[in-house]
Amino acid sequence: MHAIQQQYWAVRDYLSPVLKESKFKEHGRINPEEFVAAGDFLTYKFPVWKWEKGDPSKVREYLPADKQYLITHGVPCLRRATSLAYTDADEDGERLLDFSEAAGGGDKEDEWVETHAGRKGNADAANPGEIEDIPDDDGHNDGGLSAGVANMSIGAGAADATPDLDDIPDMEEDELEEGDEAAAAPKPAAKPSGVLEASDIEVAKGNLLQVRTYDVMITYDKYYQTPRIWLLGYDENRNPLTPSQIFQDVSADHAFKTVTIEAFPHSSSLQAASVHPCKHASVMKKVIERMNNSVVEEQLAQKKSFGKGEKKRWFGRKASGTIKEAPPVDEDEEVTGMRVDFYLVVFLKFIASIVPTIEVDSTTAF
Amino acid sequence: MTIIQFTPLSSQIHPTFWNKLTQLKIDVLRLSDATVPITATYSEGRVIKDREGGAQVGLAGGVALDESSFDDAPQDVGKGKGRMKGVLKNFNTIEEFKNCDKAAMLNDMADKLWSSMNSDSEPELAPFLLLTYADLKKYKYFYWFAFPAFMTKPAWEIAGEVQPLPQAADLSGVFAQVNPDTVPQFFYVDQAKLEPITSFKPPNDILTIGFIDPSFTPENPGWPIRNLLTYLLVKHGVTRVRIVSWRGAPDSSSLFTATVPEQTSLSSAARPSAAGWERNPQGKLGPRMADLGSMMDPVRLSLQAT
Repeated sequence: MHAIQQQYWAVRDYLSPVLKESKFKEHGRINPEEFVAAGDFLTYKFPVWKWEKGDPSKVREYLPADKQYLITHGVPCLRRATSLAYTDADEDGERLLDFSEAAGGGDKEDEWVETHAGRKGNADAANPGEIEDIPDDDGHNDGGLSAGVANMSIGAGAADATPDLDDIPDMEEDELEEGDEAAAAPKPAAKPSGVLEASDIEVAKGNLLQVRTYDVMITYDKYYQTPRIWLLGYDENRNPLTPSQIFQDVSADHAFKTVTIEAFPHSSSLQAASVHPCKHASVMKKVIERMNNSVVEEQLAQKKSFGKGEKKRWFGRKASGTIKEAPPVDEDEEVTGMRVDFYLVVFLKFIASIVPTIEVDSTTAF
Repeated sequence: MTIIQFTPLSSQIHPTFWNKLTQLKIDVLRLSDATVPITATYSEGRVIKDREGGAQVGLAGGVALDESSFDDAPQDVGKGKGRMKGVLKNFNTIEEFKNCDKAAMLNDMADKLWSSMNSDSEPELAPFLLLTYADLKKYKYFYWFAFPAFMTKPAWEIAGEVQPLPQAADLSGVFAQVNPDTVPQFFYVDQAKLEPITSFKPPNDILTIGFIDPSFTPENPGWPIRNLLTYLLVKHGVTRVRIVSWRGAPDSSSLFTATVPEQTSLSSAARPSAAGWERNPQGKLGPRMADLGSMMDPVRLSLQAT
């Protein structure tokens, strides 16, 4: 069934036309050229991202051959999203976020509510009953809360990494390394002060922390005309994560619904977790509208106060300009609003709400 | 004086690597268990800040392999990465995998490394050996890495303290001007420039070398520097050297001085013994396994899709 579905998607993707004109403000959708422009900006501004060619047989001809998709490696993920529980106390943690801070916050309705400000991982013994239910899924998948809880037991790392211990040949050969006094022990005795080793964290904080790392890819989805995010995870022992383990890092509202395991379009073999893009355009449209309003306001304000040496906000800068100082706004320059170059930066902020513990949003410096 | 303990490398294999190996096994290698040249990259160690609580969490840079590992060695592996050249030996049965003479295979690699260090050719300072057995029906892959490095007896010791790189008065100016994207994997400081180690000439005054360090602990430099130290000792008689552990930016990098007693002499005739087998997640010297059934098995994939 799944295979048929994937075939269908492939055909649909093939038949759907390439978006030509710019629609990003009207619909939240972008065309391939804008995807490349936004990707260029992302890689320029945040060099952890880079363009990839992908499998030559899977090249999408509407994108440049050497800019098929974006990738960043080794994104840390310190906690499981399933361990972040919602409690009444967390309501106090709500914080109004506003993209238009500098513009003096226009409409109050246009603000974001960040519900998890300052929220702590809730895996301590004090309130174990507050863990939000993971939707039952007909018992077909091997994930779910029970699996999640089971995986959190002591020594889970080892057990996870080697599901079938019987299969591993018994071939420990400790004599192979005799006499190497200059090799640091698996856990070095001398640790630098102030830096925790990944494996120490749970001991140190009484809280279950396992450092996973993710490879995160962004492709262009031709059918939905939006970027699409792909996740490939590794556990703390650097073994690939199983799908049910990856779902532990997806917020409960999205696991199994909008996040699924699918064939990665630029590889002939890779399966990866992906956030389904069917809602991306409408969400992005809302975000862009808000930001655009504030950016326009700000640009108007800048026009008025031109020459007063006012500090400019980042979103008002020209992408093509230098990052050091925004070029002065000419008196007759058009008020253009938000540029499409910022699309992916905004997109990553949105994705960060779906995978709250994977630090995909490298843009928090702003 | 304490003996320098080097942080061993740890491997991280992308699922596409196993896929490519499967193709190679079915289409090209078939029943041959001849060695195949492959490449890998390692990245620099990082210390990240926990957004909740603010604790510092160290993340060592792993040795990464993916489908491109079977291609010819890439010229440019990207910022903050070191390139490694190795060989893959894929066994046909689990028994062969279990019973092969691992010590002999490591010694074989060590011999090659040793003779290249003693010749005029450019030694491969970050070699590796990968033993695999692929259970293609169950999508299970057994593997064991070795990152050969020579033991120096008596061992290298640390002189003085490990200090943050910016505190080194004579070097801070040099590194302030260095483009972090262009730091070579192994380098030495020649006046105010970083030069690749391949163009190394023994200087008159104190020698400063450096490398892209996959370890995040300043006290434990990463494994790749071991072979460089051996090389400098045997080829150029270097017994005291300052080492820059480069981790992406001057602020996160560190500097220490390594010395080895003068009587430590390596003659080109007697090869020192080598070590470097990777430990498994249990901390034992043993193979690892990757189970990709949940990502490759069509039956299990279809179950997840429902």
